[in-house]
Amino acid sequence: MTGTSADVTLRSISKSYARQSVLNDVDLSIRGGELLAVLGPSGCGKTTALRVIAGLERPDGGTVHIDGSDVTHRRIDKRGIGIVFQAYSLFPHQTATENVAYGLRVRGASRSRRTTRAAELLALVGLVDHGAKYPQQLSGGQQQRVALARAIAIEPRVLLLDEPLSALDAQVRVQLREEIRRIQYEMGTTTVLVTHDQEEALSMADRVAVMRAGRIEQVGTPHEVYRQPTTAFVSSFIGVVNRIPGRVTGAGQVSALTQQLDLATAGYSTGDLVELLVRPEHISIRPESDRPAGATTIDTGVVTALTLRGAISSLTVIFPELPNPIRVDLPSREAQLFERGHRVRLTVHAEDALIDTAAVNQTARVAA
Amino acid sequence: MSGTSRIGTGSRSIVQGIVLVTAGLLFAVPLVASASFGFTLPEQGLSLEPIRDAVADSGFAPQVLQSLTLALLTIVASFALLIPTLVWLHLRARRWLPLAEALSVIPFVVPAVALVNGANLAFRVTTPGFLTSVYSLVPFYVILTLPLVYRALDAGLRAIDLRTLCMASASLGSGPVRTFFSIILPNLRAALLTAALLSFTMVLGEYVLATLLLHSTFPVFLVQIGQDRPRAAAGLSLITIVGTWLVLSALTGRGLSKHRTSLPRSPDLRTAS
Repeated sequence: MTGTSADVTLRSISKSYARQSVLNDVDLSIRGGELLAVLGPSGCGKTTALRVIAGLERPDGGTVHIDGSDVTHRRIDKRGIGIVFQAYSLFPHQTATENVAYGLRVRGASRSRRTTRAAELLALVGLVDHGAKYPQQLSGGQQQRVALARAIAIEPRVLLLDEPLSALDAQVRVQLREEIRRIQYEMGTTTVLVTHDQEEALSMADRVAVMRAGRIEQVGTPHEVYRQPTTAFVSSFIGVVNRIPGRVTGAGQVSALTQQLDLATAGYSTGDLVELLVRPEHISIRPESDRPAGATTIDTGVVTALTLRGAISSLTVIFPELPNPIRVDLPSREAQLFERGHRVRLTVHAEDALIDTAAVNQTARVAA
Repeated sequence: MSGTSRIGTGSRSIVQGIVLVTAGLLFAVPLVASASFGFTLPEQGLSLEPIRDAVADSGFAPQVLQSLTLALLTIVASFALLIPTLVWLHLRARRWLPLAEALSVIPFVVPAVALVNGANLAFRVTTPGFLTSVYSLVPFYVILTLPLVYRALDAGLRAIDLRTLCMASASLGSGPVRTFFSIILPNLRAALLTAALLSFTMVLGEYVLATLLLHSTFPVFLVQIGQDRPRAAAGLSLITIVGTWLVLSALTGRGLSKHRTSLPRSPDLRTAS
């Protein structure tokens, strides 16, 4: 099955509602054929961005380009886009087949063409025997599958998915996530997925755009935004992050507790109080007696909780000097070596730590 | 504790039963009385003679037709006025819906007599020909049925996720007109039937406006024959009530059952970011 793969570009898009800025000078390029996830917390403007691409919202400023043509003032039905909405959006008075065929009917396709195509697409989404059912006779997951088939029936240049899985239960969500990815890959249609679910974004997308307060914080592959976050927000929004108080002690030097870490400190002055952001899996843990060579260790802590998460386990470690406990993730097999009450040492590798720029000099409550 | 609860439930059921029976009697007794009066003759007992006599009257057929036409025109005019307005309000100006709802109730608080007096004063002078046509009743009937039609349509629009359906339709290449006729109207089937039923029943029984504006409609005919043939009037009234009720219930039932088959599950309307 072949599809179209148009480039989509947003240039300096801004949008406000009642004088409140929702999109603030957003620039975004979506490559032809890729699946880009727009990820962010509620109210960050991600759905508005999608609606601007769709033509459901007119931006206050900036332009939208699809395959190089400016479509900013083009109506939604003239943009060649398909949308799957968060709310179930199947037409209640039509069967699944009629829903899928609706766009083709609008385009004047013959009855036989519509029927054949609808059957093909229902087969593609695994609902070949459900064509005669009305939406209310289908489960939520089935309805969203039909909605996907309906959106791709018109062979859109761009497919927009507005949190299509958020109303579904966890198991169906995971299953449908994989199906959407498979279908998108087979069709090769440029796809924009809006979601607040980081797992969904990281598992489905070729690239992820992380949004916050109407701005794009970082665009990169799932690996990049997870492993190399460029801002503290991205670091803390995606995955779990520990906040460890520290103090800049010199150029490229930060002390955390009484230890020294080699970190980029450009823009900071000696004496600045900072917070280090470190992911739980980027901290290694050893019994108190076992001090590794070549790494900086944080003072001794006490294990207060062990949580089995399947292949991975989380240990909660508290330090008298720190306001918050530190979470350490490690393979469950290794976690068996530790028990509640064990005294342990943690090792943070400098290359995995990031300074939270927003928290500079706000951590005076903690002795660095 | 559970005993008290059982007693409470039992006495509540008795009260509910009494209320239902009383309401049923209030509704049924006049109908039974009409039937017994309209379908009997003093010497002959059960008879259709009074009805045959009334139906044979030269005024019967034209005035029934007149009222049916007026009912139909009222429904068409109400729908033409209210459906696009309500769809627009729901899609583009939801904040005005409470005001529109409040305005729609005004006909309930303006007595028909006051409406006719105002219409006489305004139109007899400015457009004398307007009120002489029987079809001049249509706008007044539209006003009269407005509260009921408004509520039926508004409830229908609230029952569907109108915005999402319109956006979905537009994203599939459908323009606003096609979306209106192919998506919105079919999903308002039950609401349209209810509104039509209410309008139809109201127009078929409306006497005050027609008589004050000196027009002959079926209710006016019924009152007129009731003055010298009360049994015929009673019989015809009963046939009208029961006939209208049966036909339109059948229509509504059919429409509702079809609508039920295609009703959506409650959509998840979580706030989008």
